[in-house]
Amino acid sequence: MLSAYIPLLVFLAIVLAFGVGITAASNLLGPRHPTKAKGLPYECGIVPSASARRRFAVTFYLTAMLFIVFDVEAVFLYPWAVLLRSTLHLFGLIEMLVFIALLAVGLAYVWRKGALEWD
Amino acid sequence: MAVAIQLAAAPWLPLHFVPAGNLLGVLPILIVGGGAVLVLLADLMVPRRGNLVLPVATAVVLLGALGTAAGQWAVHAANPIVFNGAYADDRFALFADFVILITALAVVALSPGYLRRRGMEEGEYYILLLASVTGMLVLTGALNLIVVFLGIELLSIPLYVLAGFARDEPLPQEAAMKYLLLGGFASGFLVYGMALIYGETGHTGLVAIHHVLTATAVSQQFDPMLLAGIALLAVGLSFKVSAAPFHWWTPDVYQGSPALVTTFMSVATKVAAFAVFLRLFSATLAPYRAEWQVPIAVVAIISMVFGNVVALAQTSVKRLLAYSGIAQAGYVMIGLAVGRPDGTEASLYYLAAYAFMNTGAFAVITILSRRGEDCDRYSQLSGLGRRQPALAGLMAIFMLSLAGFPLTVGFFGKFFLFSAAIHDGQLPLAIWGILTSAVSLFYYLRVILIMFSGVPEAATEPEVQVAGVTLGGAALAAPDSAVAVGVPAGLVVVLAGAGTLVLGIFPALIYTLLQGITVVHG
Repeated sequence: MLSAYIPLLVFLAIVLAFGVGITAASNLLGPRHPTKAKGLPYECGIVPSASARRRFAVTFYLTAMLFIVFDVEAVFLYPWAVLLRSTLHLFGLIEMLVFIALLAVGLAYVWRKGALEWD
Repeated sequence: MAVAIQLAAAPWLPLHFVPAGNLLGVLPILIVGGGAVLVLLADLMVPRRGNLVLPVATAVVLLGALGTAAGQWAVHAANPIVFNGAYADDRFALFADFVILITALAVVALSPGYLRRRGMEEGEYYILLLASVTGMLVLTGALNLIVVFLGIELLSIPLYVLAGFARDEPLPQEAAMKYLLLGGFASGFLVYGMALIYGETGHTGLVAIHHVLTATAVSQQFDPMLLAGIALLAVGLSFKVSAAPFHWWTPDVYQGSPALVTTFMSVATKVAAFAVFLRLFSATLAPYRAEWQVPIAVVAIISMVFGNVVALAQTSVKRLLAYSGIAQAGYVMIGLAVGRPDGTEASLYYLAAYAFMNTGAFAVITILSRRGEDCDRYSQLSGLGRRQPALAGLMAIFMLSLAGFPLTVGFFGKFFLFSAAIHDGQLPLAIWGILTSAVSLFYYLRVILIMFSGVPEAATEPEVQVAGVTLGGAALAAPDSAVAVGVPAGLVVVLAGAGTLVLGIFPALIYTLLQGITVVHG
């Protein structure tokens, strides 16, 4: 049974060899003329203004977390909306209402606890 | 329910999705999960600190689930499998549910007083507690690897938060971080094991896996990948039940977490994790018993020896109970290694016994805890026999029971486990169990000795005054006066003590429940 996985192993070996080979070849063969501007971190073409290693307000993380929760809700809603009339019918509607109600409770919670305030 | 039945008559509803019986089968889970949402809303409505709305609501939810589970036990459904083989409300699951729900009720009864003394009165505590109980109930009846994983995560994630619930203290933060990282690591083992088992059998349903394994076990051709999957599964679950050598998180987390969270973690989590451990290994993976029996027995012996020997050297009460918990996990694993119905029954009996004695012991610790600090040093216990003879006496009963003294429930718990091991011809397990029990007497008796011989701790420490103020002068008026034990907290300790003694004299009260208990697996 294990022999069924041999192609996978071969594939893994090829992938590794290809990746290492390409990187090594470009390092060995490619011409290099380093300048200060080339060595800068790429920030969408804008000259970097300060070090990237600085502290961010914790509210960013909070907002990001809340965003993900409601973003996932949207991800669920798209396929649900497509299939609702054809396959899911009322059952799907009730299921989604329960799901949205739970998220609404979560929204009420973060709202009431003041997690949506920036300060 | 009425809605679901009415809708069932409509032809456009895919009936096979949710027949009413399915919802009835998972009713305790629905009650606790829905209760968590309602308690969350209640927390938003009544933001005032210190009222009893949330604990009472939580207790009502847990009582409702307990009543429903008792109803399911009484009905004893002929076919307890629901949701297309994903979940079973068999008596095995229901028994574990009882232990978990009763433990949670005890924790809730202790909560208002403890949270007030420690200055952590937040509604989230009860919400997270209910969420964790939901996960545990999912776990006890899980009949599908995916559902097992869902239950484990649902019980663990709220516990990671609860472990760090005393936010402004360094030790709880360390405990929460360690628990989160190592818990995530263990979940990785678990899910990898599940993936390998799925890869080899082509099923995630336990019933289907059992059938495949029964067929392959006959040919005696054991697939290395399947064995690796079983091993990874065992590692992940051993972590959750804190069996050595997968226990390294236990002492730090048990010591750092607030004492009441440790109570819940050490009893309810262990029961839920052992429930799924027993179902997976004694039932689903039974055809491969010859392969996993020896490793499980070795883990049991390592846990018993390591837990008991290291407990001897502890100077912290909570760490002592953590190492004792590791040793107790080793004892329960004896029943797992035996694997047959009598082993499963003995393990379940010991888990119920453990719930009584360990909840009781930790309850005493929580009652003695003060603002900014749990009762953790031996010196805080010293002289308790003089200050608070009843509390010290009950603590002594719990310690004797944990040591396996006759006339306590712990004695019969160990008796059933050791006799199951001997009947199965696993003499080394019984011998190691008896030897390590003798070792454990030393540190359990030392706690009793400290309580009844030492002088009361000097009351010049600042936290005593703080506690006196927060409790409205009810607590410590004079240095060696009694600690005020609230009515619910006192009731919990007395009931746990009564259970420990009564079941130690009449073990049949629980054992008859367990006779012929059904474990659905195939």
